[in-house]
Amino acid sequence: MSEATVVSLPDQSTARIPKMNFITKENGLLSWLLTGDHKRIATLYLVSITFFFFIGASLAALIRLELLTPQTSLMAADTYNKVFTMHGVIMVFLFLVPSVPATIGNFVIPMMVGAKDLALPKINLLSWYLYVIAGIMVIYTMAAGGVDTGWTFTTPLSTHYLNTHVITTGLAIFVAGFSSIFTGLNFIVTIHKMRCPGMTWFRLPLFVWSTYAASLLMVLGTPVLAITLVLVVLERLFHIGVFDPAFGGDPLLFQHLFWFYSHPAVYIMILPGMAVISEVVSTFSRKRVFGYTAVAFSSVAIAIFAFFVWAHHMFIMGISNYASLVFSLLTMLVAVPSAIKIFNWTFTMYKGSITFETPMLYAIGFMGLFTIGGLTGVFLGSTGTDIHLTETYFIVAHFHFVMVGGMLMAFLSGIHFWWPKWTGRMYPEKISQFAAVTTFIGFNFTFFPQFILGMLGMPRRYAAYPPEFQALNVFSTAGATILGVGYMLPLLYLTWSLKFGKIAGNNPWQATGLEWQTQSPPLTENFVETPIMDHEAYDYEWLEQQQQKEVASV
Amino acid sequence: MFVWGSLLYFRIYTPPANAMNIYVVGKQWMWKVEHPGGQHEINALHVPTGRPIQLTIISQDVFHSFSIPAFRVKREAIPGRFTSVWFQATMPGTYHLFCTQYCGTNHSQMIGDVVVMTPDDYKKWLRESTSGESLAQDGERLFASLSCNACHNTRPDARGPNLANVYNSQLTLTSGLAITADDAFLREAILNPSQHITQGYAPIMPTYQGQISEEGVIALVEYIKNLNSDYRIQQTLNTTDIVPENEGKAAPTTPAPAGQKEVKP
Ligand code: HEC
Ligand SMILES: [Cu+2]
Ligand SMILES: [Cu+2]
Repeated sequence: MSEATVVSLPDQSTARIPKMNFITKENGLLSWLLTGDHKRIATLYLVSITFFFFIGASLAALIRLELLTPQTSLMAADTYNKVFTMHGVIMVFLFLVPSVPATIGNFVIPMMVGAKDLALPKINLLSWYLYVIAGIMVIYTMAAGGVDTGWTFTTPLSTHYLNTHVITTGLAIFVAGFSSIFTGLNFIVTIHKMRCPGMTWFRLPLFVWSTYAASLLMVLGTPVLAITLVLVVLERLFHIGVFDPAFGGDPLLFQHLFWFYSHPAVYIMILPGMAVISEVVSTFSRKRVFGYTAVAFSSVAIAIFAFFVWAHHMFIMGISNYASLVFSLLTMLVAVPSAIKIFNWTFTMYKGSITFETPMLYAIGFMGLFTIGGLTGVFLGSTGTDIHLTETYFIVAHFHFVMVGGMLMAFLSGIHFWWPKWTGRMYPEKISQFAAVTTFIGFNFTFFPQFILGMLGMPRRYAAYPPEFQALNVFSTAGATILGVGYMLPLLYLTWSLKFGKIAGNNPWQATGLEWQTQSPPLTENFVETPIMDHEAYDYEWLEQQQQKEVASV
Repeated sequence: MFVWGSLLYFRIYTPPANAMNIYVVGKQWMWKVEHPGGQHEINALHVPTGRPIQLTIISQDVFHSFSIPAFRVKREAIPGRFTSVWFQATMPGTYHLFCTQYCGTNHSQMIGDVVVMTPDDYKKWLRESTSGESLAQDGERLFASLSCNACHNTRPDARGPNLANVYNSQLTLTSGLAITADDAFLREAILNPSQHITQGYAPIMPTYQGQISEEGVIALVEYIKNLNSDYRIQQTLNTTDIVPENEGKAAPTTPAPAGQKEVKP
């Protein structure tokens, strides 16, 4: 093992992937489609989510191409509207929301708490099927002509004025919503009931805490979205007069309901990302996460605060000035727990023996971009500046920094981190480091110009724009091209590594989580015998002793 | 940051008392502007420098958002509800006017120019673009043609209240609620009279929902606002005087003085 790295691969000439593992246990398509194994379901999720990610990304590419010129040159305004709507719907509901929880979370949570599986395996499988049904409905919508409401489904535009497939899309999101409610429920029950002996709440890895908080949000917030969308569908079909002022409804009510879910949704998306970062930062700094309890509780605090800030999406919509004041203050407060996390991770790295494997590179990318995303959020949360900045490209840049720069980076970090555990093989290190850096550069090129565009006043969702904005848009599109390369690379080399990657062994990162103390890929039952947790989380000394014992006994 | 932002916010959304009021109606996909002098514009807004301008904004169909990035102002145009914002232009010139709330197919075409002129140029423009009738006169015509005056007149046996001086006055509703008759209330009183019956009157006023266009309602409101005597208002055809007759106290979002119920726009 060289000094610069924590990677400890077994001797490659004798290394073997264990014959018996969750992948080889049973064969045939049916054994996958009817499985109850959380690791197999996670794999199914991974494949389907990647599929939708690349659809969403192609739509993003179309958007950037169209915006190369000020006129509507590539497609008609209507088509453009459909493209950005589908991009939003797919990325938010079919990628970001389920990304980390349903794939990585599904895969590692039972192992982290030392259990054989999630508490409700059948429900877990059902979640995946719901997800697939939602996905098929979305694809059907696209094939049938698309929808152009924007992912926010603003009423009465969506209920009354558009003749596109609002109903199928609304129902698709409704179904996807249930998929995430079930996933959340499953996690909550598992974390409460399935912890192995010795695994107290404060010995849980921080991944589990964060995902727990996100699960609470999913279970409590998603039903509101579901109801809202059903109301939109009913209003469309029967004109029941809830949102449409023409039938005596209140259009602002929709905004309240929608953002009551969709703000917490932002945290549903970002909390699991933070979950990944805690694990990765600790492992590659070889230190316990600084201020474990603070980080754990900040996740819960975010989950609670998240429900009381929704109206910051409505500052310019004529809610009373005093309401704005309160929501602005609450919004600033919700930034505190996020800041706590960032500080604690930084302190974890401080004086740690840091190494820069790919997951760590992505994690550092996350911290940088998320911080920018968060700080720009302060300008939006502050009512006065929000008036100028909202509904412009500043918003677009802000949430892409948080969601793409934050969440997607975290997702990629996690995928690389647990890839050896998942497949038993290493990804190729050099090229993946290159991909991580490319992504980071491409990302900044794409979205940083958008902050400037926003400050200059370019409105979002414009198919055509005044010519003076062109230069920055060209910049952004060029950056998106680099970003595209950054995303294609992992797809290629990870697939390659399935067959040709080096054998990883049990614990290539020398990480402390229980999932690393079993074989890779794990057995269907995860552990040979139920593990007993006799040390704190992130106890690297314990790990060292453990290894010395092993050497001694050989 | 929070304090600064909030101060800014209150400032932008609290028009000064001497602001000159201009109505803006958003509709798929254009901005219609109604000046008190009766000038109509589409996708353009002419204003003089050095005067606070208050915009009273409403949408005729879906959500739109009225944004002038150069002046740092933006306000949602909401169907069925007045909102307002104000600014004071300092430099003559042409500035962008955008719709920033996604509103359907031609959202990105819902743009226009804000033309800021010196007061003299502005007077000239007002004179040249007058439609021959001020907004309040439009309203007066509607008031007669919709037979509002059948009930709202000054006769002692009138079935409806006298509307002179009603604007910005305190009304008590049958529900016991005290309410200030601001723009938003006048609009509501015309479209949903049964929702707030004024004390001492029978609920006989018919609803005009769906019968008057958004511009019609604006004209009526403007007319009622200007009714500060029992006689017809004194707005001249040629608005050489750029000071509108009304005091422009309309401030739907202004917090009401203590003790009064706040009226949300
Ligand atoms: C059938 C008689 C009738 C007609 C026609 C009528 N109104 Fe009224 N209006 C009333 C009565 C009675 C009230 C008081 C009770 C209430 O608030 O509804 C009233 C109240 C109002 C008010 C609230 C002011 C206050 O002091 O309560 C406004 C503003 C108003 N009317 C405007 C109009 C306009 C504009 C029209 C024509 C488009 C109109 N009305 C037509 C009977 C009428
Ligand atoms: Cu939000
Ligand atoms: Cu628009």
